[in-house]
Amino acid sequence: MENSLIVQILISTLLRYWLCNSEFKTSLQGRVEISTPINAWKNLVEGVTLLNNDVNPYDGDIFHESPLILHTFNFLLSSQNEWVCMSIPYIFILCDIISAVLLYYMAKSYMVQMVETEKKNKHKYAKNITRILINIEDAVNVPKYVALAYLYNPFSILNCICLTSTVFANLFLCLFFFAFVTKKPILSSIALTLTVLHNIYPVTLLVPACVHFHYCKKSWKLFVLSFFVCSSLLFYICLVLMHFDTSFIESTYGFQLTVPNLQPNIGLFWYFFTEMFEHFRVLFIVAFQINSICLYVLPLTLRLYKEPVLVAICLAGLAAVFKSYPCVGDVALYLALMPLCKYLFPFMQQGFIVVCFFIGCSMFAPTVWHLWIYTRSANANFYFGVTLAFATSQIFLLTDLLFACLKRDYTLENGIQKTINGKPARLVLD
Amino acid sequence: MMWGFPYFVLVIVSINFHGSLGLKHKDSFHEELFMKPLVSGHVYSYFQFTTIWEIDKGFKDEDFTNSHLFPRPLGEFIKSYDIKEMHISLTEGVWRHKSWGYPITEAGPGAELWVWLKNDTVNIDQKWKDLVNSLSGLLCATLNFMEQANTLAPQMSLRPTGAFSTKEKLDNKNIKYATLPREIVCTENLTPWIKLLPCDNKRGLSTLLNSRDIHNTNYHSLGIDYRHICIDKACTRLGLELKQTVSLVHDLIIVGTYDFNWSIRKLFGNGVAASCSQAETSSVYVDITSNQTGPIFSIFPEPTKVLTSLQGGQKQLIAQYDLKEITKERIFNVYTIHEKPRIISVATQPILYTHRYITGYGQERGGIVTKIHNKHRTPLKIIYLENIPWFIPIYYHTLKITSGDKTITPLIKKYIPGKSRVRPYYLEVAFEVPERSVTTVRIEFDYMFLKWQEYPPDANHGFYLGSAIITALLPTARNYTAIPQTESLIKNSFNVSRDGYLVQIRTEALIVALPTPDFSMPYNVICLACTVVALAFGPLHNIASKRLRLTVIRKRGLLEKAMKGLSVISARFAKKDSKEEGDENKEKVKSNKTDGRVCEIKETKKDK
Repeated sequence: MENSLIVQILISTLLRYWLCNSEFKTSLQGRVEISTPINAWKNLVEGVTLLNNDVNPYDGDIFHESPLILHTFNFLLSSQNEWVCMSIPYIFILCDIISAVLLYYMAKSYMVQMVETEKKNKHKYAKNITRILINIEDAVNVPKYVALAYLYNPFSILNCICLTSTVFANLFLCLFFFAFVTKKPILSSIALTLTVLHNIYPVTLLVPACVHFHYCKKSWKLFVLSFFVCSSLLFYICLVLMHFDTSFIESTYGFQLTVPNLQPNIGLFWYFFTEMFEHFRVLFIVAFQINSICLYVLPLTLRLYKEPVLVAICLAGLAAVFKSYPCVGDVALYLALMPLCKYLFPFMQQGFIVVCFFIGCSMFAPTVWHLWIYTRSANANFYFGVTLAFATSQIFLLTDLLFACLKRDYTLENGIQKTINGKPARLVLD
Repeated sequence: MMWGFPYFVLVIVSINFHGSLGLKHKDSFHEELFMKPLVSGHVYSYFQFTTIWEIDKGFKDEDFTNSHLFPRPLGEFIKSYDIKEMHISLTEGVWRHKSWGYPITEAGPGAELWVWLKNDTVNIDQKWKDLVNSLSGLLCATLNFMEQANTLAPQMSLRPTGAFSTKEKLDNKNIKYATLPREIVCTENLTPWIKLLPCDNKRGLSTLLNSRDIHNTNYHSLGIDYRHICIDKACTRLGLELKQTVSLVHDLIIVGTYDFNWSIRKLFGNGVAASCSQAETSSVYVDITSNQTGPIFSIFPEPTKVLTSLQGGQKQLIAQYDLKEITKERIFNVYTIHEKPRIISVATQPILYTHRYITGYGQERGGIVTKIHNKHRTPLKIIYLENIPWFIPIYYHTLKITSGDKTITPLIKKYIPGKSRVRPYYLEVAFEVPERSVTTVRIEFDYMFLKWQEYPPDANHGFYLGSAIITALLPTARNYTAIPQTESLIKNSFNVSRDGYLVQIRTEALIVALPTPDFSMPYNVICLACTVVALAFGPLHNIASKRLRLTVIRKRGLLEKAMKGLSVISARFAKKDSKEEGDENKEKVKSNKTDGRVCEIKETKKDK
C-alpha cells in the first residue's frame, strides 16, 4: 500500500475518532436517514438488555438483528472488562477502515484484470479508441479513489460514528467484493452468507458471482455449494444460539419483507405503505419486494454477462435504493464502488444532475424533517418528496452507469466517430 | 267454579315455591353513602350499593337463574363467562391524591376492567373477547375496544381481592386487565348501571344519582365490583358480593355555594324521600373530622349517632344517619353551616402520591416520567405497573429508577415487550422507595408512525396512554378511607386497625401526539412512489432488451418545428377538403416513408 493512502487512512480514522467522541454523536444517532429500525445502535442495546433479562428479544417490536450480532454484542456489552466495553466504538471504526482497505485491494485487482482484458481484446476493437481505453495512470489511481471514496464519504462516516450495524454488513459486502474480484469462491461465499444473514437483499449477488467465476475458470458450482453449506451452518448456529427458537426468522427476514414498521427512512417503502389501502397492502408489498430482490438480476446479468462486477455494483446500488429499510450506509458502499467505473465516466450524461440532487437532498432531508416533526409547520409530504428525489437521483446514477457501459462497448467496437454519411449521429436504444 | 279450585291451588303452590326460594337465597342489599368535605374545598361523596348473596356450600356453580336481589343480567353474564372476580370502573377526571387523600375505591381515567376468570376456563382469549363485547352492551360503553392488543396479565399488582380456595393455584393466564383511557363516561352509562339496582332510581339513595348533577363534578366514577367473599371469619360460609359504587367529587364553586355551606340538596338537586325497601342497611355517613382540625362547621340535622373511628393511629369522627328511621318522618337532607367564611387550608399530604408526565419535544423521541413521593419516615416497598400501548414502543434498557442522585435497583422486574397490533408493553417493577423522598421512574419511547387508517378521527388530538398503577401497603392510615378487604360495607370499615393499608394509586393518563401522515392524498403518494419505481424499471428494461444504434441527429430550429406543426395541421385540413387530393397526399407520404426506410437500412449496413 502506498504511503499516501496510509496517511489518508490515519486522517480518516482520527476524523471518525473525533466525531465518535463529540457531542454530535447522540444527535446524529437518532437521525432516521442513518439509523433504521434494523441497524440502530439503540435497538441493538435494547436487544442485548432483553437477552440478559431472560426475555426473548425477537418477541418484541424493537430488535431485528441476526442472532449472531446479538450474541457478539451480548459478549461485548456484558463484559466485565471495562476495556472491552470502552472499545466498542473503535471496533466500528476498525471495521470501516478494514472495509476501505479491502476495497482498495479489490480495486487494484480489478484494474489489473481490466487492463489485461483490454490488452487481450485489442485486436477486436475499432481504430482510434485508445483514448477511451484504461490508461496506466488510472489503473494506479482508481484503487486509491475507491478507498478514499469510502474513507471520506460523509455517508460512510455518519454510518460509522452512529454505530449502526450496517458497518458490519458493509464490511462483509466489501469482503465479498474483494473475494469476488480476486476469484476466491469459498471466501466470497462465506462473506456473502454473512451479508445475507444481516439483510436478505444482497442474495442477488449470487448470480453475477456465478457468472464471474464461470468466466474466470473457477468452479461456480463450488461457490454455490459453499454458499448453501455456509448459510445452513450459520443458520444452525443461530438456532443453537437461540435455543432452537425460530422466532428470529420472523423478526429479521420477516420484518424486512413485510415492512411492519413505517418509520421514515430514505427509501420508498415507508410512506407508500403508510398511505396504502389495507386490501392492497399484500399485493404491493409483494410487488415492491419482487422489484427490489429479483426483478433486475437476470436481465442485467444476461445483458452484461461480460461485466459481472459492474452488474454486482448495480445490484448493490439497486438494493440500496429499493430495500425496505435503507440507510445512508448502504448508499455509501455502492458510491465507493463508483470510481471503479471511472472508465465509464466520459460516457455518463447525468453526473452533474445526480451530484446536485445528492447534495440538495442531503440538505433538505434534515430541514423538512425538522419542520415536520419538531416545528410541525410542514407535513409528511415534504419529507416524502425529498426521499423520492433522492431515490430518483440514485436511479439516474445507476441507469446512467449501465447505459454508459453499453455506449462504451459500442464505441470500442465501432470507433469514436459517430457520424452517418458525414452527418452527426447519436446512440439511442432501439 | 269448576276451574276456580285448581287455580287457587296453583297460586298456593307458586307462593310456596317462591317462599322456599327466598329462604334458599339468603341475600341482602345495603345502600350506603359516605361523604367527606375535603380540605381543598371539594366534597367527596361515595355511594355504595352492596348485594351479598350467601351461596350453599353444596352448589359449586353459582346458579343465577333464580336471582332475587342480585341483578339477573349481570348474573347470567358472570355465569356464561366463568368470572371469578370482576372490577369495572368508568371514570371521568383524575383523582388528586395530593390534595384529596385516598378514595375508597381507586379508578383510573376512562374505562378500566380487570377480571379473574375461573381456573378451569378454556379458550380464555375468546372468552375475554366475548366478555368485553357483552359488557359493552350491558353498560353502553365501548368496552369492545379492549382487544388482545391492549390487554395485559399483570403478575403482581392486581391479585384477587375476594375469597380464593387455598387449594386453587392462581394461574396468571386467568387474569385480564385492560384500560381505555379515552372512554368518555356519560348518562348512557349511568342509566344501565342504575337499572342493575333492586330499587332502580325510584327509592333510596339512588334517587340522588341524577345525571345532570353527577356529570357536573370534577371527578366521577362508576364502578361495579364482583367477588367471592367469606361470610364468617372462619370462612365456612361463602358468598357472592356485588358492589356498585359511585364516587363523586363536587367542586362547591361549580355547584354554586360560594360560602362552602353544602347540602345534599345543593349537590344532588333533591333530598332522599324514602329508603329502598329492599335494603337491609340504608345509611349516610359524613366524615366530620375536619370540623375539629379545620374550619368549624355545624351539621344538620342531628346525626343518629356519632362514631369515633380509630385506625392506624388516625382518629376519625363520623356522623351516621339511619335513613330507614329518618325518612319515615321527613325527606332526608344533610346540610352544613360554616360559622366563619371558610379558609382553605393546606392539606396534610398523604404518605404516597404520584405525578406523571411526558418529557422531550417534537414527535420523534420522548420519555415517560413518574414521580413517586413518599412522605413517610420509613422506606416503602411498592409495585409499579406500566401498561403502555403498542404504538408507543418503550426501550427497556432506558428504564431508570432514581431517588435524588441515588439509583435504586429494583427488587423484581418483569417485562414483556409489546408487539405492533398484537399486544401492549407490560412492565412491572417492585422496588423500595426511600423515606421522605421523591423517586423518579423514567423510560424512553419512540413516537411510532402508524398506517393512515389506524389514526382515529381528529388524529392530531393525540393518543392516550393509560395510567400506571402503584401498589403499596401503607403503614399508617393517614387520609385513608378504603374498606378493609375482608369487609364489604362502609359500616364495618371503622375502628379496624391493620398491619398495612393497601393502596393502588392510579396515575394521570397521558396524551401523546403521534406524527401524522397527510390523510388527504393516498392516491398521490401511491402514484408518485410507483412512478419512481417505474423510472428504474423503464430504463433498466430498455438497457436489458434493446441494443444501441446510431441515428442522425436532426437539429430543428424553432421556426422549422412550427412549420412542421403547421404542415401537419394543414395536411389534416386538406384531407377533409377533397378525397382525391387526400389520396395523392397519402401516396406522397407513403413514398416518403419508404424512402426513409431505405435510407435507414443503407445507413445501418454502412455502419456494419
